Amino acid sequence: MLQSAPATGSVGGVVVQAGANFPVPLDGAHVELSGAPGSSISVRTDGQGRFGFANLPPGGYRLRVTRDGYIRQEYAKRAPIVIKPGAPHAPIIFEMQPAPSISGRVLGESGEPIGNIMVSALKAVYDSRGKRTFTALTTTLTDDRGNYRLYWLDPGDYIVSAAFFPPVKTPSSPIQDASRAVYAPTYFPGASDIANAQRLPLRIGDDLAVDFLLVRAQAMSVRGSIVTSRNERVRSTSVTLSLTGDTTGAARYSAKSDNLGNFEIKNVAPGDYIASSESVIDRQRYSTAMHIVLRDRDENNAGMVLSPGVPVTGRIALDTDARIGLSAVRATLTAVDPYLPSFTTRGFQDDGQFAIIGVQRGAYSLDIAGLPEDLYIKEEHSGQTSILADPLNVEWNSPAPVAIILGSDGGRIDGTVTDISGASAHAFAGAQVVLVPGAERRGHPDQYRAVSSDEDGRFEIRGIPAGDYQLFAWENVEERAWLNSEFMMKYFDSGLPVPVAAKSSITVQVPVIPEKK
Amino acid sequence: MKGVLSFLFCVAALQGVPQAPVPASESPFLCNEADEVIALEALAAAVAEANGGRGRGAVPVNRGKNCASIEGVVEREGSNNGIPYAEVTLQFPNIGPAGDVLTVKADSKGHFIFPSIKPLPLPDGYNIAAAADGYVSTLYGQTSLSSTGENISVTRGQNRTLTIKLTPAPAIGGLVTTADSKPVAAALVRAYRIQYTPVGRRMKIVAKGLTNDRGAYRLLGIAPGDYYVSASYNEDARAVPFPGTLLTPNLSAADPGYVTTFFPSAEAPADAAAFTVTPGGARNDQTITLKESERFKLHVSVVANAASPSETHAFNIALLPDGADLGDVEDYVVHGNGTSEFDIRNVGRGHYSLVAFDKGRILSEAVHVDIQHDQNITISVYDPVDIPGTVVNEDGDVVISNYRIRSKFGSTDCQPSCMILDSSDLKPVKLRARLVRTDPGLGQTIYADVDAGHFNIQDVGPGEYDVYVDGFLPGVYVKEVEFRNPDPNWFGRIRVEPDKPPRILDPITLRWRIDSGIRIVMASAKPYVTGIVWTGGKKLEGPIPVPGALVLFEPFRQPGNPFTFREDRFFVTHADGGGHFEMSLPVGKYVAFGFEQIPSDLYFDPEFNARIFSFGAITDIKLVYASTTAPIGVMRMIECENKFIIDAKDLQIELNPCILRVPREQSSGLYP
Repeated sequence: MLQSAPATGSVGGVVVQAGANFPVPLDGAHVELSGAPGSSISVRTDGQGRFGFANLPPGGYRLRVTRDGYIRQEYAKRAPIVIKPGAPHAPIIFEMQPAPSISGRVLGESGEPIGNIMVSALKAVYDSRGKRTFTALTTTLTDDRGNYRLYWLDPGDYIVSAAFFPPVKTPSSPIQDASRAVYAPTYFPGASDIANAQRLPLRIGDDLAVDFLLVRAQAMSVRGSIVTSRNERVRSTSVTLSLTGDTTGAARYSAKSDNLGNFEIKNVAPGDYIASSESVIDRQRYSTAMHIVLRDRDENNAGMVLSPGVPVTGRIALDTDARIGLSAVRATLTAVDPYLPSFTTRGFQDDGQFAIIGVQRGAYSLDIAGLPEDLYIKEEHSGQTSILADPLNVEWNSPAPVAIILGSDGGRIDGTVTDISGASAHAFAGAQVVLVPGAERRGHPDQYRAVSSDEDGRFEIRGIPAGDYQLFAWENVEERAWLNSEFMMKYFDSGLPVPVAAKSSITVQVPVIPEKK
Repeated sequence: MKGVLSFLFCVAALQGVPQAPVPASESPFLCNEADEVIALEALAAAVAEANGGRGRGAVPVNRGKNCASIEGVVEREGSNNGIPYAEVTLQFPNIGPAGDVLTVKADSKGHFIFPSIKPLPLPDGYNIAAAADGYVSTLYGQTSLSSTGENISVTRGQNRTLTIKLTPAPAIGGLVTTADSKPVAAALVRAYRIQYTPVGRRMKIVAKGLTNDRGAYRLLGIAPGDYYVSASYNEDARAVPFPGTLLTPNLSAADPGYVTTFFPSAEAPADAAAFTVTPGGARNDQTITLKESERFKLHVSVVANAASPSETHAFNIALLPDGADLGDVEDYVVHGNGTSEFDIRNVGRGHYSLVAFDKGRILSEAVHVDIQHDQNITISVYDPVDIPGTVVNEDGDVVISNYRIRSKFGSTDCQPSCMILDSSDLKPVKLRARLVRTDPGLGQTIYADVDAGHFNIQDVGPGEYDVYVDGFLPGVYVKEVEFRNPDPNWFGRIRVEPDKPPRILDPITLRWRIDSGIRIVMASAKPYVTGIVWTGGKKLEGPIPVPGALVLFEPFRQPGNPFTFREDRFFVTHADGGGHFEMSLPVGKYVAFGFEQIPSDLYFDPEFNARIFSFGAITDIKLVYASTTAPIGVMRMIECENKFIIDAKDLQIELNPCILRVPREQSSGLYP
């Protein structure tokens, strides 16, 4: 047999420090190439900052690089790198920016250092509905001298908080049995509420000093009772409190119910907690979780109602009622309170029937993941009630069966992102392309579509519900910012209007919105 | 000698006779005069004031002629800064785990008050302990960790004022670097408290932390004692979420990283340098150097044992370094792929133990592995068993589980002073049954509460254990341990093997249980030993008594003594202000020592014992003279200075063991 041209390709490049007058190679950088989900290979750069991958089967890959002390990078932002057989890919240069840090000291009223305080760098992000929120990017604990370092952050706007962090008690550590002073959560420069916190812009290479002065707070109690959903008192069962900001979710306080099902947890610091309890009754797992916010007074009436939960049943179907492959599809009831548990389907029957079991009382949004690209969610009902925009409320009994109707008649957009700022227009790779629905549908996140342009500036969007849209292509934009109407105000005039009809196919060119430097 | 230390047991606790509960007002502390109600109110006011954190109000100090009060301030050592909200506890000296206590909280300036308490004149007195977050808990007048506090005597109408100094809890800090001195960020650093037990040295994880971007770590809230520290930098260590710490997404992967390395640069605890943390003595220079080293691979197959057809379900395996404690098993977990085959990569050279477990329940024998090359190992899993048991007295009656000690000083119904056990439900003392794994390379302790004389120790895995009961007063001891499958060579030691004795599946709980459990017989130690601890002194001065010395009677180590490895056969008390001590011991052969200061558990260590043996006084306690007032011990002893042996025949004599100043050897890694 004759040797054919090699069926594999390769890619390589160099990692250097950004902004230097002459190239400063970075050794030991971790370069990861991932193809199909779950398969990735990684190498480290050599002393000259070089890396390379050979013998790669042709196809689309993602290329990421991390190095301690620098901001992680992905090749062309999100664009896949396309490996072709035979010829090596053009060399790739990663220019890495030094990551900024925040450090400081946490002191008490009389200037004494306070150890074991959890300090969090809360980064401004947009949530799944486009609301501006702050989420912990990094947290750390102060040492016995009150010092902390939140290192290698991303640039952006931050709020820094310091919160009392009760350690989990261990039998071998008697020191922890001593009386504890407790502190209220404090947002720099001294606010008790996140709304009054100061936003700190953090830029490349910064090392911001942020010191806290914490004021002792009154320790509080949480009292309540545990009953089953049949109103039977549950004795000798633990209730635990975990901090919502704690990444481990470990119980920080706990108490057992007495013979009347009443419990009292003492000496609790102010904060946001999830109270949870579970028990096995008649070989069935009963559980409950609730959000408890302690500010300045005891919680005297925490009603923990243990229940086995209820099944939520439903069916997912195409509008044409044709069969579809559902193996990759997951339906999840996501609690509106982000700290309460969510529940996911274990699978679908051939006809699209599903059951989500053990769902606790509460408000949920129904999220569908893993849909084939050509389909979109047309309707979500529980009985006669639409649950597309409004949450599904689960009470003590199963809600009316859920019907999810998928539309298969969506339109399609093929396009190219171009950069027209220079002398000649050229294709722009790695842009964030977002299809934003008309004004009346902007409150519905499922009506938006976001993709990125590939190495040749191209993109495609399929399964688009019919209607009017605007198309945007940003060089750089914060994730989900397009769901926020305030952010979008300054862009609505510059979007490319795209009317999409059912089963239509459109080809467009979108100019990139350059990043403001 | 009279006073606090002479006590007798009203043996109600051992005879199972419930007594009438004692009303709350009969507190051993609160002044028992007609104005006691006021005393209670004043105490309540003081407590409320401290809790409220407001300025000091008018707390009525009882200066009545029949009562006394103690007030003062808790301050940071080396300063006059009060420690806010410190807890101050009044207790009686030398009464073991079961004593009454009275606790008040200091105010925001560290000021505390016991407004109205019973007078307790010399030679008696209270002990006062203070505790605060971030400080070492200390008795007033305590000069070392193992010494007793000063007795605070108060006379009628007296208001005593005290200043209690607390030292900040020490920290352990340092750097983690590579061999070429580059700092290592986000390495997991653990501190292990070294615990000495009669069956071996243990290391228990007491603090964990991560290095920052400069490679620096600090572990805080460290209790004084002996420690190892280690650093782990690899993806396995990184995979475990660290409480309170969310790592930056800009951190580079650790990959195989380095094997877990003990200070200063050792792969195995045996080669590590132990160090001592003293109160107020932070260790800031414990720099750990990670080095490239040879790594080995272990392939582990887990099989369900055929003799134990069980519903053994999910399990994990853990690889624990030599001397680790199974209480920390989750810290050593090996992440598998959901099958019963495990590949453990990047293991450093050394001795390890391998177990299978599920949610803290140990499912297998501990397999000892000596890693010098790649190995394949098979371990069998069994369901753990529940072992029921009873605690009885010598007549076979179950003992009262929860009792309370009341101490009545100077009252007329109990002269000159004594302690009474009763079954009051006020501040009950809980009895606990305890199993201690005897494996020299692997520790484990399993507890079970004793309720009305019965206990059920849950989830006992295969292995060999010593059986203990905690919570009795000094002088009450374990006389017998009965079990279907005892270890004939050692007292109180049991072997738990699948189906020996037969197991039954409880139809309701679906848990395995041993049908015939453990029977523990408790007895009161009748022989009574009194003595004085003194230094040899210079020839002309003669012996000098040593106040507060620790007195230890430990089992004489000789072949055939089944008590050598039992920690509850090491009897300890403290000498009083005049160097005198008294204690009850069961009959047996002991070696007696006096220590000026010693870490609380070092005397368990067999190696340490081998070194100090020649300083001890061999004491054969054989004669029992039953008396509630004048107990007599007859003993043979060695006088320390000239090794002269005195034979005392049927005489009441004082025991004079010498003061020991055992040199602390440096840098051997064995002794701090």
